[in-house]
Amino acid sequence: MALHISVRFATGNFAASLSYEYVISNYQNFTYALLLEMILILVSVHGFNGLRGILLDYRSGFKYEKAVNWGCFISVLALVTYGTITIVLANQIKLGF
Amino acid sequence: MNPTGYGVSRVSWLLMRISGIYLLIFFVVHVIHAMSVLDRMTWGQLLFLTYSPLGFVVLSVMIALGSFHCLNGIRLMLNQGGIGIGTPTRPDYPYQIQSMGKKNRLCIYVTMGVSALALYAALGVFFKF
Repeated sequence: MALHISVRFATGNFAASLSYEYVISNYQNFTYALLLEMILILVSVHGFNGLRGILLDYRSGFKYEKAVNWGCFISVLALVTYGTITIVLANQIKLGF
Repeated sequence: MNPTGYGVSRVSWLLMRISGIYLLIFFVVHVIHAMSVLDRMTWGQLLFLTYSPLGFVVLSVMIALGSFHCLNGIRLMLNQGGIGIGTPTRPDYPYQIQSMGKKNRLCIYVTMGVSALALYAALGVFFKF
């Protein structure tokens, strides 16, 4: 995550690091795309597992626990799928100069 | 949920949860927002949201809470490994909590200080002061 955030400031200009060409070139760098995919999976699992823990701390019950567990699991799958589609499609964009 | 009357460890526990929820909401919105990169026009339009005073504040708070969540998480991992929680002793009066010694409390205060510095630095970068 620190690496991902520091890339935004690595150019020395935050606005320039958000230019369309620079962002697309980030996605088309295989190592960086792999890093983004890893962040996507790890943060999604960690985040929704944490949310699951918080939700289970405040209420209990078989149905409630099952709903929370499945809800978080499906949310992780949905978010990872959504993010992966972005990474794959952004990788195929052809920039015309 | 009441953080008062239980010492700094309860405050760090509450901050850990608040920062976790904030970071998760930020992450989900960030992933959805990132899809706009597939269209140059949409990317440009949504960039106005990021490149605004509100966007800068949201990003700065994310960096500060992210720093706290990361550093406090490392402290908790070390604690779970038995590092920094002291040695077990018989509970004698005045019943000092071994697991929340001076070093552990100092770690929490340092984590809060580093987060505050991260917030100041991030605001400085975004608002150029």
